[in-house]
Amino acid sequence: MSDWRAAVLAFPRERTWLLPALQVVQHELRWIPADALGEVASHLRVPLSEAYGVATHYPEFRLTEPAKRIVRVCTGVSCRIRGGLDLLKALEAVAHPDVTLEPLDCAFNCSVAPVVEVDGACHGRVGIRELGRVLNTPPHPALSRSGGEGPSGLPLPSGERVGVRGGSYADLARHAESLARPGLTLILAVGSCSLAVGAADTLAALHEEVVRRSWSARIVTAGCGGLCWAAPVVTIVTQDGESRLLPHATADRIPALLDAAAAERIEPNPGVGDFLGHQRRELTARCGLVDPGDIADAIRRGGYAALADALSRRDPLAVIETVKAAGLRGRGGAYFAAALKWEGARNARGAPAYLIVNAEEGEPGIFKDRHIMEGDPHRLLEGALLAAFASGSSRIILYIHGEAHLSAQRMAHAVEDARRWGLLGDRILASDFSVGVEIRRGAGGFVLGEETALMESLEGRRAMPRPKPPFPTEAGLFGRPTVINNVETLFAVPLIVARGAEWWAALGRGHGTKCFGLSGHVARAGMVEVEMGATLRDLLDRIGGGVPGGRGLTGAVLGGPSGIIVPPRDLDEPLVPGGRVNPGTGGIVALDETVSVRDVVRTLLDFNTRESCGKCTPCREGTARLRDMLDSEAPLDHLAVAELSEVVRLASLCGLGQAAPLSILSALREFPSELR
Amino acid sequence: MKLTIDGRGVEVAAGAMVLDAVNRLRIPLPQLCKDPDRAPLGACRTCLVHVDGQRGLPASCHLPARDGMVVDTRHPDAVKARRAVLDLTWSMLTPGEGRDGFGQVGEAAGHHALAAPSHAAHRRFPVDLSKSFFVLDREACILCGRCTTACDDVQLIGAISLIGRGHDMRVGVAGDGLMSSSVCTSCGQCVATCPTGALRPKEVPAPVAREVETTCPYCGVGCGLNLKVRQDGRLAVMADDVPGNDSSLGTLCVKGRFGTGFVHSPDRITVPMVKRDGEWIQVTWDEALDDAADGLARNRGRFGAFASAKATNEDGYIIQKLARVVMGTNNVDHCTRLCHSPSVEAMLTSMGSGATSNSYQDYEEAGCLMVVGADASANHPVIAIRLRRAVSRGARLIVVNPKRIELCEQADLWIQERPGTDVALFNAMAKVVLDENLANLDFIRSRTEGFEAWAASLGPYTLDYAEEITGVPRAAIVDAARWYARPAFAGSCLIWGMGITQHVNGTANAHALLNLALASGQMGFAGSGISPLRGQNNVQGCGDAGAIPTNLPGYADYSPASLARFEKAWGVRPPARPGLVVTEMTEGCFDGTIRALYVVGENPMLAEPDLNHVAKALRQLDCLIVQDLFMHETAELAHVFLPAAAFAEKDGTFTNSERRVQRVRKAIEPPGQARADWWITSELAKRVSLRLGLVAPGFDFTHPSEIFDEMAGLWPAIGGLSYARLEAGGIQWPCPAADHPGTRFLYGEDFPTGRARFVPLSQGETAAELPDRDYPFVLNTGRLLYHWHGGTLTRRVEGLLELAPRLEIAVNPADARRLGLGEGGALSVISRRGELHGYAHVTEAVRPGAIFVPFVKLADSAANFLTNSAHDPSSKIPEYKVCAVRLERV
Repeated sequence: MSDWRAAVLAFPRERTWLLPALQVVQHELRWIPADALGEVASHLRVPLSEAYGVATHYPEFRLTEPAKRIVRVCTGVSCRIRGGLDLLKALEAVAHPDVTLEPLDCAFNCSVAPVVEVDGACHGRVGIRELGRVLNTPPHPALSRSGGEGPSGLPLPSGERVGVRGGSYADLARHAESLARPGLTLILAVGSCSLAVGAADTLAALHEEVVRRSWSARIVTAGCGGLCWAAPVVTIVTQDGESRLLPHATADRIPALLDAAAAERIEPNPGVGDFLGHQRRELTARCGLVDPGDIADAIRRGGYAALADALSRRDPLAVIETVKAAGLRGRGGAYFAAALKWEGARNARGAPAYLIVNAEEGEPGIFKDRHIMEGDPHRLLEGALLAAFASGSSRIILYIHGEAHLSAQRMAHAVEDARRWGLLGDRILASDFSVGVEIRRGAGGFVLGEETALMESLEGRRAMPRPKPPFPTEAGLFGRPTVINNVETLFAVPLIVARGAEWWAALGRGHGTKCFGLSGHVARAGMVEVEMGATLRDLLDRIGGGVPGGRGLTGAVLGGPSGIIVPPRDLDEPLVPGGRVNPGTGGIVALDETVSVRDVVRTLLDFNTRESCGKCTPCREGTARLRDMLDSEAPLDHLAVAELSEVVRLASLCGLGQAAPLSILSALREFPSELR
Repeated sequence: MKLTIDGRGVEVAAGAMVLDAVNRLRIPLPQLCKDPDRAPLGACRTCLVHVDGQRGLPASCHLPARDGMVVDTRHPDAVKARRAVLDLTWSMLTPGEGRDGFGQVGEAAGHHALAAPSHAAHRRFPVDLSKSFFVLDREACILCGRCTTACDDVQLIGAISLIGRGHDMRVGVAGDGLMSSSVCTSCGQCVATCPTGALRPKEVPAPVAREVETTCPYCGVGCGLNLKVRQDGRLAVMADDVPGNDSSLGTLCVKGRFGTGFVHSPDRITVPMVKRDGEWIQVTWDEALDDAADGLARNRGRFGAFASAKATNEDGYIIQKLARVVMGTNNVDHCTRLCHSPSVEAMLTSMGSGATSNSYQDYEEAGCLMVVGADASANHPVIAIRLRRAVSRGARLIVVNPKRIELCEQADLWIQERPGTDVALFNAMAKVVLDENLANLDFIRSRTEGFEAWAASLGPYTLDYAEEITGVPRAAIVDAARWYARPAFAGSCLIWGMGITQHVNGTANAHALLNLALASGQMGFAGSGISPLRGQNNVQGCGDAGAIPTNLPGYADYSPASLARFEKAWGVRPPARPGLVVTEMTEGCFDGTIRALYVVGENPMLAEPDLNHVAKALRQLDCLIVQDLFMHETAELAHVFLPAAAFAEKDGTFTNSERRVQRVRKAIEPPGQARADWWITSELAKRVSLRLGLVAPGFDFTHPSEIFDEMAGLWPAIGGLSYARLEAGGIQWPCPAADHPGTRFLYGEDFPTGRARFVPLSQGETAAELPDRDYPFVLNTGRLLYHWHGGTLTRRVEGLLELAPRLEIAVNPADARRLGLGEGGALSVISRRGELHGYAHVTEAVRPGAIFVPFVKLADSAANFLTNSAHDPSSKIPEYKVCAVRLERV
């Protein structure tokens, strides 16, 4: 029996395992042949047509056999305006039967655009001249598969096994301290972004150089500290605790950089100073420094202290009160008060209650949640545990995007470590609180950003939003009370609980801080954190360094395909929820003067048309008709576009449908001359 | 809650949606994706309304009504948005033949002054004509999701699904093939709900004059059926389901939905006939009834009656009354003899009642379902829905069947025992229950008797022995025992069919099951119980009415007390000696015990085993009266033919498998001179009485409700029922008083016998006839989804015949290879008694050495020419399930 058969048969015969089972098949075979689909359907007792309906619904599933190699070129806005389309054209010109060439809506590596993915391995900042090299990189087994070894090809750090399960937090902290190894530390920021631009080579070079120099130094692979534009980034921490940041630390520059560091001749990079100096890195403070594979490192930096404190007080309502008082609102874009959901689920009847961490970041141009999971998985996990404790949930499901392999791998590792350290499972830290954590992976589908659609997918169905009511807090996953929070929302919780509601409420005009992914025509692309109320000018100019090449700015896409295109005159508007310019989910793509707004709108609309789940008529039909209008030779009838957009906005079932025409509406308003 | 809608006040119950309130006021509001009987989907977005104080335009289908809400469906914003959405919807559709007006889309467009869609349709699809009763026409589809919800969530068939996503979405089947390539069973649930006619009957639409709610005439599930009577007086091909029916919950199978057309069959006999010199001649009712009465009067005491489980309770009651009151005999029986008499006998012995103890609802609430020798998907499709629903809610499903049936796909465990070894299998399971301390000792102690002796009798049934005899791996026996005795939640339901009963050891098999159920205490509470699935629509009621030789109506025995009670009611004391059963009556034809036979709505010449023998028997008769719809195989041998009304042409009641008494209502007039059975039998009774000089025979009924009232007066279990009460829906007996709600499950407190009895038994010979060198194959018989029993009715429905046109004989691939048979290859099956021709269906569903033949007559022959009349000694049921045959390639 081949591996996939055995793996499929190992699933319980329940429909909820449909996506995982199909993922297993695709993982093994690179596609899902009809007979395999039949076996999965039969084992899970899902009618074949239903299974086929589900498999054809999720974009990541392949139902036709691909060629030997799969090359995907990102054509999302950030990549297409930085040369992605030229790469696609160049590759199309040299079509080869051994290669399946496909455009990709987004590789979620916008900060190192343009991106080409070869057999699952992402290559960033690819110029036409680099294409040959990129294509000839041998397929890396670990890179083309989800799970298993780290997608970076790096060995997984081995977690410490400790015998303190059920002990107190003080025991854990003592143990973590005992594992500390002071001395020279070289921290390499390894995120999806830096891996796409040579971080693996840098790591090898660091090892080589440390050995060559006989340094007694520890090399740590952290996540990205947000400086994607400078990746790979190495931070050297001396024995005395002083740290030096080395940007652009490609493998070939490592010997020279280490020489300079040893001689203390590192000049501070002004770009780094501006990039970091204008941010307020609170939530992301550990990103780029903490070892995501080492729970002891996280604990030494204060990890799980808030959880331990809350559990010791045995008062989940106090956690709700604190978060309510802080005014934490959901970072998925809707800005709904997080604590109200917890309260709702706590008061609902039915058990078990679920907490779903929505890590299905699927909006092209937005990648901040991936950075959070890659950079500091333990803080996210701690936030999820606090939310589960507060809401009375006994099961946490981390729902991670199907192609966010590094995020999934690091979260899985963190979960495993936390389990070993007694921070998950039964009676956590000797309290009454017990919770299980499970990781599920998506299979693409922008609509998974809608909470009920995500629940449908967990139940093994097509990701289509449910009519509300009932709301998930009353009847969500499997009809049970369910809280669903975005990654960034939960990421904020430990700090709020640790530092108090006032601390958070004092930030960002009462809204705390917000993470953004910066990309497009900006000198310093990356993941940033600022106080709410910061302006686009703060983000694009002060932090991002402005449009490169001295060109002018046409505007910025704010919020991905559900977002708007902000014109230059609004650059100084503060970004606050409910304000004139809404911060949205947290993705900003700067457009310079060479960019066609019409093309950008068309790209976003086309994405919405294809990614509409298809359930409701206005979204499914309306977006397609709008796209038709843009594609038509005839002059664009602005009134007709506006009226149709308005219907889609008003009448669609879910928030994503309602937001689908926002980009074209904003373009009509702000860039009418571009849409003739 | 009180709301105001368009200025009008309306009150709705808590939990109602705004759309419910709108509909209550009959305000026209589009609601394309809303099936009136299902939860809202929220997909079409055409029911948008304006609500005072609320932002946006909520869809009223999933907007909860609140007290004091002020709703405006005519608000300009709402009208404009709906119009725009309708425009987008209509723009999906391409005009064409058969797509007139696109149903609700056209209506809604009319209400919104939308003359034509703004956009040309994007989608191009050929019409899928591959199903016999209906088409799938995607160019008329608005992707509302009602059909796929009906298929997947209501029927849990999953033949069609929404395929693809975004603008590329379509309704289709796996691999985007034709409907006929899917598992579609033609239940028509999708067609019934489609708002646009994308799924529509092939029948040319005709105006409908009225709809009549009645009860399905096919199997024993007892589904509510809404017949549509066309203006030309014929029934529309497609009937509707009845959402308010508690047994069927708004579902139907293909036979109920599309199979009522037999009533219009051109070969209906509509004039009474008598045979003169071997030729049928048409006569008046008087002549026919006189002829018949003469024949009966001269054979009083040598008379037998076959009542019909297809007819009503009232019909059955009148026939037994004719036999007992006029003909002085208890020789009245019906097809239960051929299906569940062992179950009834065993249950009467053990518990004192022969009925299903629970309700279909219990299947859905159970934690474990054990389905033994019953192919519910084919024979009780609507029960199969509930089994699938239980499985999807986490219940364990154990299928015990030598043949791989459709339910095996869903099952957690499939036990494929050797035919005839059920006693060994269930005794071994029971032994596991005892050995592993899984027995319900409280229940055994307080509710049963005979446990010790029975427990001691299990000694030999070790797992080793059982594995050897039954061929079932011991682990499977152990798992099944554990799951059944101690389900993970709720209780366990034991469901069985002909696979248990139609054996020479049928009664022993049934007892083995009952013992297991008693030891586990799995009855008498919600989610538990024992259910023999009844094959015919009214097999329960026909027995209840007393059309059985062993008991008087209401299962009264022949004790002096009960004879006296009936004498008081009837004016005549019924005979005290039990009568002959069906098969004995057939044998009685040879020795003169039976000289006159009155066969009502039965076709023994297809249903009984060893048909050549039956034909010989019937030819011995002095008087054979057949009362039926068609000149069938038995009728051809008769002397008098009395044309009866079909189910749609008369009033009455049926009692289904869960003891629910339901109304049968007259929808159309009988054709020609055909009359209701109860009327014919009453007339006959009166004429025979006259000839015999009997006074006051009690057959002066003007309406079946009077007959029902007489029955209700004689049997306390239905004492609380009346036609008036049944108007509001069926009620499950026992219902002893007019204010009694009916009974969902029996044995909650006690048993009619006081304590239930364990009956020790041992595995006997596996079958009367085993394979040998000359006849090396074991023949198993059963039914098909698309045909009902011998096919007397369903062969007269064109679309059903198209779905199953020829006799397919299931042969294991290994045997097929040996015989050189390919799929579809012609072959003969020959037994010591007869021969039939069919076509090979090569499948792993049967074991090597076994074949399966449906007993429907699709050619010149039928399976029961092959079967053995050997029978179970106590219940007298023939062994349909096992006989030895050989195969020959043709």
